[in-house]
Amino acid sequence: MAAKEKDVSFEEALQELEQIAEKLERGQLTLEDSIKAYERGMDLKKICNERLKEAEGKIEFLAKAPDGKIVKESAVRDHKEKEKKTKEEILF
Amino acid sequence: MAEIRPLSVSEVNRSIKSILLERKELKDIWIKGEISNYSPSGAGHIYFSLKDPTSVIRCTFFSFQNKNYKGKKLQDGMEVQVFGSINLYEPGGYYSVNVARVEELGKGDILYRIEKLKAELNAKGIFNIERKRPIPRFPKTLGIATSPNGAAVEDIIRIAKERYPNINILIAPCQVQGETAPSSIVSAIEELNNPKWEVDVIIAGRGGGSFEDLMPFNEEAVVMAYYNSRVPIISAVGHQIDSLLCDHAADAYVPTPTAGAELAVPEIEELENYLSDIENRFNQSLKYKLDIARDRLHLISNKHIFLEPRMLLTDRIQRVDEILNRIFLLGKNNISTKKNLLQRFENITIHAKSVLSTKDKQFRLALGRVDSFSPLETLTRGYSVARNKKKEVIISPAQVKVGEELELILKDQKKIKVEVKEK
Repeated sequence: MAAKEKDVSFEEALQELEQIAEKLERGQLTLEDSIKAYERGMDLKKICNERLKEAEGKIEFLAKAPDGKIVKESAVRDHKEKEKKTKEEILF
Repeated sequence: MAEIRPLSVSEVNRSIKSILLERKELKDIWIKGEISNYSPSGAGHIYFSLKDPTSVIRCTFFSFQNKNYKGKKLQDGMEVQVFGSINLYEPGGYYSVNVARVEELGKGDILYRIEKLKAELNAKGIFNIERKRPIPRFPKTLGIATSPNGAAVEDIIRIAKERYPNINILIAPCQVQGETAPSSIVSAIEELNNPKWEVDVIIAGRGGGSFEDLMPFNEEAVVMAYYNSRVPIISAVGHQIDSLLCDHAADAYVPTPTAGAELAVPEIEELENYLSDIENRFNQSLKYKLDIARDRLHLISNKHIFLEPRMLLTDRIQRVDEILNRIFLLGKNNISTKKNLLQRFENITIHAKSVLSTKDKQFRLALGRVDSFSPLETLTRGYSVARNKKKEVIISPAQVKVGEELELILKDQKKIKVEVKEK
């Protein structure tokens, strides 16, 4: 897999995957191109699966910094236990 | 001075109640207002409030009274007049109207205002369906504009995380109730639209509440904030019956915050299934392609020409053969002709030889015989042969003239010249 593909997002990879699937299904590719498309598709599927298994997303809230700017602050939550460890203030 | 004895709460309430009940002006009266906080109980009683722009009064419509009500189903926002008496509910310490009859008056003021605003906004195209954008299928960051303290935000986070653990969530904490709520909601939505937060989809809303509680979401400013959101926005205000104006301005609306999270965030299992489906499609397509190729190959390789590749050559072989034959025949003919000729020539030669040798023998024989008759032989015996200049042998005097020179051939080819003197 090319190095630059490390940056491909799930959506981008999936979009290309869908396009290739359609192309392949239309059956207008030559056999050789079909095999190439298939290989590309399997690479993309791998990327998609990797993206899905990436680290958990962040939970943040907007808050006012001392200088008055609006910043992101981490909200440490264990959503399974419904326990908030940071109290978000109403900002707006 | 009378002894000061503290009254019990019940005594106070009872005392107030008795005063209220004595007042003729609070008995069997008509009160006009708009229904809010409509809430039927399991026992069949109906509790609601009547309000006007500045005040609210509680009403109780007991089942033995409300079973006679044949009008339009009561609901929040309905403008009615009720007939009843003021009573005080001692355990709760509040007064309310014991309603005996209800008559519908027409649309309540607030509802009327909402309807009017709705018509105006609709005319401006704020609610046009064509401008609604699809909710992104795979958002990286979900923005939430709601109260940080309500159950709504917790529900959204919980559901979103369960469905798709790598979703990023950004909460814009705002007020969702009260006078300052509209401007607070507007600011929160606007801030979530700031490109630097990279929000892909917004859920704006709150949990369920009374008609009044939800009023901020009918405010024009809030509706316009939904409308102006650059980021696709889902209206997720908990409510059942009436839709709110913000619902119509949003790209999508759902009846609960939980449903908002379900709409905004894909389920990882679904995605995995979807990926598997795509993989199957790939496999199917390629298999199909290969099957076709295989069939074609089969079809082609079953053609006579491939089963009998010699066939491709036979024509040519035959032709080459023919040509070779012809060449051969030609050559053969040619050779045999030549051979014949040669043979004939040889035959002739042989014949000629034999003829020759026969002739030779004959010749020799004849020669021997000739020899004995040869004038040359005779010459040796003293004879001579006379010839003129034309080498004609002179055998008669007629052949010569007088004075003509003749040649005499003698023995051993010796010659002498003589002149004719007479004839």
